[in-house]
Amino acid sequence: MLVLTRKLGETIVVGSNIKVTVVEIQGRHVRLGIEAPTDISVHRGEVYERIVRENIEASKASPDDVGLVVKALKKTGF
Amino acid sequence: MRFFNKRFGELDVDDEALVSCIGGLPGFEGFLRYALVEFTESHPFTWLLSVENPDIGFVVVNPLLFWPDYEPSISPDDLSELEILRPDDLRVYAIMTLSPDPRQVTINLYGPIFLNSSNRRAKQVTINDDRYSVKHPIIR
Repeated sequence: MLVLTRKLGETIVVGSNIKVTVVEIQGRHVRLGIEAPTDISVHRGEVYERIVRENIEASKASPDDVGLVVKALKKTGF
Repeated sequence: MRFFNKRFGELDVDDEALVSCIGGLPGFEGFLRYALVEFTESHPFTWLLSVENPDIGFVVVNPLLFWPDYEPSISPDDLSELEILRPDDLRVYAIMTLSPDPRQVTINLYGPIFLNSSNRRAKQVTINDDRYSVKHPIIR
């Protein structure tokens, strides 16, 4: 991993069209500004991981569980 | 087309049921082709079954049935990747995470799947909206 030291207001450029700026530093929190082409998706790391974990859990869906939830919904008058 | 799924065995679906997931779903990037399959006993839920891997099957639902105020934003780039030309072609699905206890059943409003119903291209997006999470119980 490349590790670079930056001060407030300084930037890192990735490739020719992605720019990351240190916008604010407060204690242990760092705010970053990211300028990137619109076709590059930018996410907090943990957000993507959360979707991956949820998808993996969801992919084990069983028809029996669907039957149970359909039945439970009917009881609630859905 | 015919394919095999371990839950249902051999299935034969119309081409209109097939869906091509752009980039695959996060965690399942290697699998792009799915079929949306409905069974009367599963209504209002729909199965999203991989036609390439018999183990992979999701249950999806129109989230507006449970959250009428749900308003996931979709970026212009996602719209153009899906090649949406008419707003009416855009469908939204949320993936369910099931459990033998219906009260533990949740839907993922943070990572909805958008589908272009006319060209059958789909994409799961993250909506970066703090009002929504990956786990909303559907029975409250």
